[in-house]
Amino acid sequence: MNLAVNWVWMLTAIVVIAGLGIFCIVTRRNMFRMLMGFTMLTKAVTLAFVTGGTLWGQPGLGQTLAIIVIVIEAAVTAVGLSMIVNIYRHYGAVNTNQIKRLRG
Amino acid sequence: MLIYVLLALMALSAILVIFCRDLLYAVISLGTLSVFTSILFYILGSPFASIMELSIGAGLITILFMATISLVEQPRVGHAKYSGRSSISFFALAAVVATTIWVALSLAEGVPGPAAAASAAALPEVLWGIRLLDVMGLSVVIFTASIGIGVLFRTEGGK
Amino acid sequence: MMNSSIYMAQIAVPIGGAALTLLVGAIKPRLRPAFAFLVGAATACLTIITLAGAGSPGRFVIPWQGVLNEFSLSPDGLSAYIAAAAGVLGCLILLYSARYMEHEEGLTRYYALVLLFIGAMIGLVTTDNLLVMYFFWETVGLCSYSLIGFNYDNPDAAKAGLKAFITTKIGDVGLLTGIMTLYVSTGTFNIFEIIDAAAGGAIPAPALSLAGFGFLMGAAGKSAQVPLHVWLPDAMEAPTSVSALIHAATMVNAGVYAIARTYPLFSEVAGWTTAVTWVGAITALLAACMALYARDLKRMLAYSTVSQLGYMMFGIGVGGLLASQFHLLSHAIFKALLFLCAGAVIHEVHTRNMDEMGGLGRKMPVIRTCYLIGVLALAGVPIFNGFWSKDMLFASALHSGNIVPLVFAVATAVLTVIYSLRSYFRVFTGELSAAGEKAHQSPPSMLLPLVLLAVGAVTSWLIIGIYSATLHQTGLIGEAISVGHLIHETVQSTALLLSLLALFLGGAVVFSTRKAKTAAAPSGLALWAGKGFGFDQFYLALLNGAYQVAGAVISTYDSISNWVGKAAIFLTVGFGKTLRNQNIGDLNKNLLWLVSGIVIIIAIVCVKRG
Repeated sequence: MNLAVNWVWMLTAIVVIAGLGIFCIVTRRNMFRMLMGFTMLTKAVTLAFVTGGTLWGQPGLGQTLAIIVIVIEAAVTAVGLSMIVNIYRHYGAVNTNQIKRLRG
Repeated sequence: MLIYVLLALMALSAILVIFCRDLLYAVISLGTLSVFTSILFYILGSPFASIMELSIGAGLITILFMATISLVEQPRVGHAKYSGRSSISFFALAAVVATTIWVALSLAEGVPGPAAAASAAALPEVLWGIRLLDVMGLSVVIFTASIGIGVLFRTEGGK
Repeated sequence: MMNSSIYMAQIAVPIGGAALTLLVGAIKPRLRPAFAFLVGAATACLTIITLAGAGSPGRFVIPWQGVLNEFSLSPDGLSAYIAAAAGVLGCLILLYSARYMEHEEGLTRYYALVLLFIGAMIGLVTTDNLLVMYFFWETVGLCSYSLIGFNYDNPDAAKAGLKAFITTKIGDVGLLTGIMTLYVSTGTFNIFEIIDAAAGGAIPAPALSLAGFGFLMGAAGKSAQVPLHVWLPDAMEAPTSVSALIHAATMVNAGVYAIARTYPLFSEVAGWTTAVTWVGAITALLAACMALYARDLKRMLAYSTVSQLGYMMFGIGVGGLLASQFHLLSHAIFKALLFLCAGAVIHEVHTRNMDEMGGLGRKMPVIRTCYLIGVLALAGVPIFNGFWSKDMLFASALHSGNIVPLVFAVATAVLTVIYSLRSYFRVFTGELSAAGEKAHQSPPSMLLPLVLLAVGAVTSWLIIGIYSATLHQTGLIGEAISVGHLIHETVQSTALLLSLLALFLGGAVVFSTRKAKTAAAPSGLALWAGKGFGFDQFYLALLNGAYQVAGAVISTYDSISNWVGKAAIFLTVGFGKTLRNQNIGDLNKNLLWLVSGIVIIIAIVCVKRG
């Protein structure tokens, strides 16, 4: 499959999505949304792997890495969600400005 | 051309995830983002990654989010305003994004033009041949994650 | 040619012994003297073995990377004999210390420092790397200051230690300047390479001259030459065994050694030999005057040491390298003997004032004999070792035509005869003083070193043949002389007349004034000499002025720095508050910094690669 991809635009898109993910993590107070930001970040990474695989003519390698990242993303999200649930049970809140207590 | 439309749609969904008020809508936007990504993967010649993304990214993760949000009360207070010092954060973030873009571009400078994607290189071959170690690590990650989730919930239940 | 690792061993054994002494002191304090003596004896054996191969030395090298060149030891005739003196005298003095120091506190410190000193002194003379030499130079200095202040609860001792430290440090600045100048000019610290380079004209004349006078300054500090001699008399606050080892026999020779070692390097520098000659001659005469009016037995011996060190400098200045170094060895033996005798006396009568002694000869006959031998050697009476070396000094001066300094030297010889014989009569003859009532003979372990040293003082000149041959082999002197040759030369030379004249004059003065033991209160020049010619007062006034100027400067600076300090406090507090607000447990903020950090790291990597 021959495919002309403008790698500059691809890269820009990847960076923009990653930047939005970081922005989400850093500015949102709700921990669910922070986790979503993390998910967006990993999607950007996945996309970067696949794009790279296409660019260098090794789609198999890119795919494999992408699959690995996807699976890890799922695992991390699951653990993160269970942590949020735990935090919610402990503090009764999911907003980071309500769970600032440094000890205990 | 389709690629650029998809990229724009992805960016739009990402912005929606961040800025929409309702958490559930945000989760749905995240799922949409995953769907667009999986289509893009398919176009880029990675059908297996596309399927994985669709099932795990758009399916499993969305459902996990929804279930957890429904576990937690007051799901609708999720949208918090910018805090008092958000201007600092914003500028910092702008700097971070700009640096990242610059870094990415400067890294990519030596990249050759898009080459012809190899015709459906056998994924299993790569997965079990070259990246065997990664696959092993992957299973360890999954195993650890499930144990972690179990521990987190059991500890809470034991209290 | 022998196994060159023995050179390392003779340094490592005493220094390692010093470290082990601390251990022994912690486990079995009673064994400290025996242990230290064994280490000292081993060192003495090693140094004597080294002596045998000094004519054709090997070279022990531990290579170092960088500017330090290498840690290299290559004893030649010049250094091997001084090292042997340090080892053997150190061993004897450790034996003497066992009883002399037995009732003192802090013996672990004492033995560790003495052993460290012996090792460092051997290192100082055997290394051919100037930087390593400087390191050992400071190490022996350290031992010296610490042992002067051994009784640190005595304010005089503490002050004397401080004075020694500051005074010698002034000289050390010069020495370090000299070493650095030589290094900058030649790119090496190896003294032999530097001498070769200088012979090839690689060192510019101003640099060589700066280095030469720097070395002279360092030597004046270490060897207590005028005007930096003021520390040595005060250093007599140290235990007498330490005075014998460090401040008479070995460490103070380091300066003379440094000058002798660099003599081939600087002898062509304009004015250098003249300066060395005059520093030596003036020191010898002034110190002899001061010794004449000293009442304190140890102080008298200290001034005498300064005076004899002046002789050695004088000897190098007039080109008599062999005479100077031979006098160094003779002096090490007879001055250690005198100090140890003085120590034994002071140990019994509990005073250092010679006016309170007297008639001790009957109570302590062995010490009397030993002291007399030491005095005769010091005065330069024929047959004793001091006579031969002093005569060689005079002969060298005559040969080189330095008549005025020679007059100084002969005058010094007259004064030396007077003060040394007079001290003998004051301490050991006449009526028994009250302080001496309870005095009795010293124990054998203290007498043995005395007797050995006394034998040495009578016979050590017999080694002149081997010694001059070794120096000749290392290329420091033109030709070797045998014992017979020495006697022949001495009897024939004009210098003998000068020596005998000095003896005669001095003896006449002593015996004619013997009855008037405590003369009338000294006046005029005598009073001035008794106070050390006002050097101390002058330095005190100088320091006083300097402190007042410095005080004014500091008080101005203080008010400025006060404001600076306030500003710094303001800034620090403000910065701290800002920082504190960044660390309030806000998850978002923490993540922001985390991400920024990662991005910065990536950026750095990219920039490095780009």
